[in-house]
Amino acid sequence: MISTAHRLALGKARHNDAFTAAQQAARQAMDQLGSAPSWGLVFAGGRHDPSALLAGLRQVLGEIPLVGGSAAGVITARGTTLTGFECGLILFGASLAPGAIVSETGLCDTYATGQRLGAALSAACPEATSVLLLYDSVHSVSARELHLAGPLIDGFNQGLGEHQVALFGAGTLSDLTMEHSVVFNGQEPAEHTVVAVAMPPGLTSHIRITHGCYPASDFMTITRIEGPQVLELDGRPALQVAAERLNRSVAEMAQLSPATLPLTLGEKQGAPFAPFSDDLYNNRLVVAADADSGALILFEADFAVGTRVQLMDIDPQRMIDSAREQTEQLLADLGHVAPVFGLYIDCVGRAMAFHGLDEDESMPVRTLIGQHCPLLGFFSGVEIAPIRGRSRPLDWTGVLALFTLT
Amino acid sequence: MDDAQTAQEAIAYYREQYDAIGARLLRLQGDLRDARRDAQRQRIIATLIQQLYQLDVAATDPDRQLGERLVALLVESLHLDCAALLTRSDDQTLSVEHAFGLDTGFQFTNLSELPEQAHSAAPEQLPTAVRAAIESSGLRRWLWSAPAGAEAMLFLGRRHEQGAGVGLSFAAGDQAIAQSVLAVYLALSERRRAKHALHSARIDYRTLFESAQDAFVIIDGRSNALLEANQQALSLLGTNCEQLQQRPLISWLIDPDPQGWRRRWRRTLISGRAEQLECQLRTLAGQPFWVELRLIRIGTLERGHLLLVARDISKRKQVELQLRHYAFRDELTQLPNRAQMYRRLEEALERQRQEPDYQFALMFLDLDRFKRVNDSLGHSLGDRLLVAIGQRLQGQLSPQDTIARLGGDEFLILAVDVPDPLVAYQRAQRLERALHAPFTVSGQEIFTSASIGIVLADRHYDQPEAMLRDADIAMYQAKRHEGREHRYALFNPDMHARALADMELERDLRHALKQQELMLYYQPIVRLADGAITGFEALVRWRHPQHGMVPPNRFIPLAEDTLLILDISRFVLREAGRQALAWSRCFERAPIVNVNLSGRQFISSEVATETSQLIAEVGCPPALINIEITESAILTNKALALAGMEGLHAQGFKLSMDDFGTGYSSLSYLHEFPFDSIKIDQSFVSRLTREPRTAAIVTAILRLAETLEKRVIAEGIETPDQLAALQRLGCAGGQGYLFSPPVEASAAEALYKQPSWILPSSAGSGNGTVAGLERGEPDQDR
Repeated sequence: MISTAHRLALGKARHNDAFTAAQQAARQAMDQLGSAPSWGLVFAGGRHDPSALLAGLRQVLGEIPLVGGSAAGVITARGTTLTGFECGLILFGASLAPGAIVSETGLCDTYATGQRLGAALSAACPEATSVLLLYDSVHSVSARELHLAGPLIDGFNQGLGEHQVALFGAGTLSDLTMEHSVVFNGQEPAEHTVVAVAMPPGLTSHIRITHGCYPASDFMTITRIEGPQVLELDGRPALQVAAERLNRSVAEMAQLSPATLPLTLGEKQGAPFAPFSDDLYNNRLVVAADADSGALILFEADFAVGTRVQLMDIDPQRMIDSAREQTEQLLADLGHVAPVFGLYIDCVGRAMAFHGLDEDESMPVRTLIGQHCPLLGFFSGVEIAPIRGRSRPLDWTGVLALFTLT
Repeated sequence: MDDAQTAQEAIAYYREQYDAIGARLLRLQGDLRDARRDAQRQRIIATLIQQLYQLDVAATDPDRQLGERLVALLVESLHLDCAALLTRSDDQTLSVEHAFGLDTGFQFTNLSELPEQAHSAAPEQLPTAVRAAIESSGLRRWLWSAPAGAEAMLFLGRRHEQGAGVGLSFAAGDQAIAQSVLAVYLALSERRRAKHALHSARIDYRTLFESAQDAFVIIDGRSNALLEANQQALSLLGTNCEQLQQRPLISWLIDPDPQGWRRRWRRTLISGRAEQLECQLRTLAGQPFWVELRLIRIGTLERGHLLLVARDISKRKQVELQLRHYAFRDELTQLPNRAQMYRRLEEALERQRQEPDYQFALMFLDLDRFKRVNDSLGHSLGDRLLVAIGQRLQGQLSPQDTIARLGGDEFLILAVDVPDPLVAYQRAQRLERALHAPFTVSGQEIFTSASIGIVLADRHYDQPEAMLRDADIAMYQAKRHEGREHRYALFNPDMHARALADMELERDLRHALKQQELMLYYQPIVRLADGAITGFEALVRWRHPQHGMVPPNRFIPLAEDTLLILDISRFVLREAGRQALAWSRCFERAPIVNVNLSGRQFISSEVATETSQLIAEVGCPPALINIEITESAILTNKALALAGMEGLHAQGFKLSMDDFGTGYSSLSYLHEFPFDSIKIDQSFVSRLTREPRTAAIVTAILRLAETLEKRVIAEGIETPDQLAALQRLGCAGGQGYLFSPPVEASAAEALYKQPSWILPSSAGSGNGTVAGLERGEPDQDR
């Protein structure tokens, strides 16, 4: 019997050269694993050449399936780095082989792609209960469009049919320029691709999300929206509404960036007047403002006319507190069952570089989870996790997934 | 207004307030974030420096990690596409040492034209090669810091906008950040090199410390706590670090003397002068060993440590001990020797000076007739006997006493707790008794005795020599007690006077030889059958100018001791030869002159040659001289004696064995040596008429001599009864006061012509008288 310690292993390296960084990370993990891995989960800095990176990994690991993608930064128990030159890797031993790895390319029609993916996964692994889904966030550089996670998830669920799974994952992103991103689909780096991994049957996932946003307005209804552009709130130009609240001019608002726009739109799930809780909100980061159209531009375009939202205040300290609370709660939920590894999917907008703190909000996660098991995290575009029983795309969110042996 | 309306208004009110507060919160949060961002930007330098310092302390490989972390931090915090540290690979090239986002082959050449700092605002001012290198890297914005003389350059660049509010261009303060962090990096590198050098030095020190053959122990000068000890120290003490730490250092000393050591430590710490001493330590297992210990202060007076350097000198000490043993031990008996006894005597005298109640005595013990043992049984057995005697004597002493062998058959005993003569005598008696029982050496049973001179220490002795001298004098006095029950003597000042007198006598005797104060007397040797004088025994006499006639028994032993006997013997031979020659010319039947030769003369192989030369010098035929030799003279060196006597006999000298019966009386000598006659010792003659046993012995001697065809002369005939007895036993000749004491040559000549006695016939005259003869003084002559 292989001990728990040898069922999976973590490696992390940072190097100017992608191949070298990958080699170093792979060797670290291999040294700890001590046996042949069955597959790997890898996230690498966006400044690395993904092909060189995979070549470096395979040079050490051989032709095993490698799933993952670009990351604006990598998180481990030892710290968070966002240089773009990192490589983080989790290797799974033979006993933790994935139920299935399926991927689809062509995210122009994300719903259809998701549907195909769901069907493929269901066919490949009908018993899958927990699925990691990763997709390339960047749809278009010139028009700065992102792939939509909502339809992708809806299509995926549709493709699964009656098959219910706990879906979690992310839209990968290389950096904050949002110009480039890839996923590793098991075999190679690929753009406009989505990959789904039926997590090893021997593992059970336990998921919590963290936010750190407080509602700062009454409920407002989106009365006009085009994709990620929220044009009107309660019949008024959305930008105007936000500018008034922030006491800034529309022109000023248009110059701001996510780093300076302390704003999300939060959609409260369930009873609207229920006491505040992080996990009741589906937040969408306002990444820009368009003075011409008077729109607030969201990172994720899954709101629709009629969606009731609140302006949400982004409080950095609250992010840290939320991360600690959710992590502690998750560990408490596990009771005496020890996690074998943790995956932390963190919105890149939450990275410390954007809010002027010296300590990033992943600190409690790193500290608390790192005591129990290997932890690998990455900064993403959109996060995916179940809220109130339904998986959905999230923004400005940290998704912490802990895995225990079944 | 109904309740519903009121509630609606309240809700509207609170919504409006909530919105207002929310908006305000949003604005405040925005302002706060802006302020934080600004502050963070301001803190970038501090943060970077802080992180570099932390890494410098914590990194396992700081040389590599520090540079790598620096460029990573810059990429991260300034949102760069590249950051690189370039170092001078030669005088004209800067090459990438650590980089993120830049090819490792990137380099700047032609450095003489490279500005210390530059940024992309003015690319046209750059040297062509530099500009080309930058452009080939795809960078659109860049800046660097390359301080003059520094080994490294920090190069930062961007290829595209970074998003999140960060554009393509560098901010105004980025150049300062680059300069500052590079300066810190270079300082840390320098410090690290210095630390590395220091570490190397420490390693060298540690290597020296640990590989030293000497034991090093470092003690805190203030607390006396043990700070360090090298492996040699642990090995020397047979311990480990833990045990060494636990035990007080002082406890490793055989003689701890804590106060003395503290004084010594303080002296070294304060003066800074090293001290060196030898002391004895013990290992953890208790094994003692010697070290040469040096105390050295290291550090300053205010904060000094004490370095103890110990070298194991046990072997040297052992050699010294052996040398000292050899120097102060008698090699044969392993008892202390003369030198050691002198030291002990000095110590005892010193102690007596400080403690008047301290009483001790020195005993000078000389074995009686030990020479005969050596001569008769051989030196090897004699040596073993000395060892046995030494052991037996030592067994009679207290542990505080000291016995030493002075040499030969002489022993010195320093006996403590001897306050008065009575105790001294008791101690001497105990030694006597110890020697009374025979010794068995190599199967031989040997009886021995000793003469003991005793001197009691008193305050007038301040030198061992004086005590030894007086003990020696007393011993000689004891020697004179021969025949008494106890042979020990306590020194008194009279003895010293006697010794001084002996010295004076010796001086006078030497003078006498030159001043012709010596003369020969002659005692007739009478043929007992008819009373005719057949010869004379020449006996030396000394007429002292002040003291008159000095008895022979006063100066002959002295002459023997001082070897003046050799000169005296020459004088006697010469004079006797001259007289014999003279008598031979006067008388038809010339009397034979007997001359005594000392045993001292038989230690020379030239005795025969020298004797015949002396006789020849005076023209005397050797046949007129009868050489008398004692048994002891033969025993001194039997071979030499035999050779000498055969030589003399061959020259024509007659030979007599003198004092026969007093020594071992080895009958074999009579056969082996060419004696013509035997002289029976006067002690037999004196007892002859009183002890039938003596008569039997004398009879046996006479019968033996008859068998061997040796003539027998009886010495010391003092009474007519003795004469009659000898006549009756058939003794051929005799001499003694009954006939005549030794007389001058003229008187002797007169006696020869007309003896003063008429002897009766030997047959049936046991108690008869001898006409003209009277009992004279005992014969003590030579």
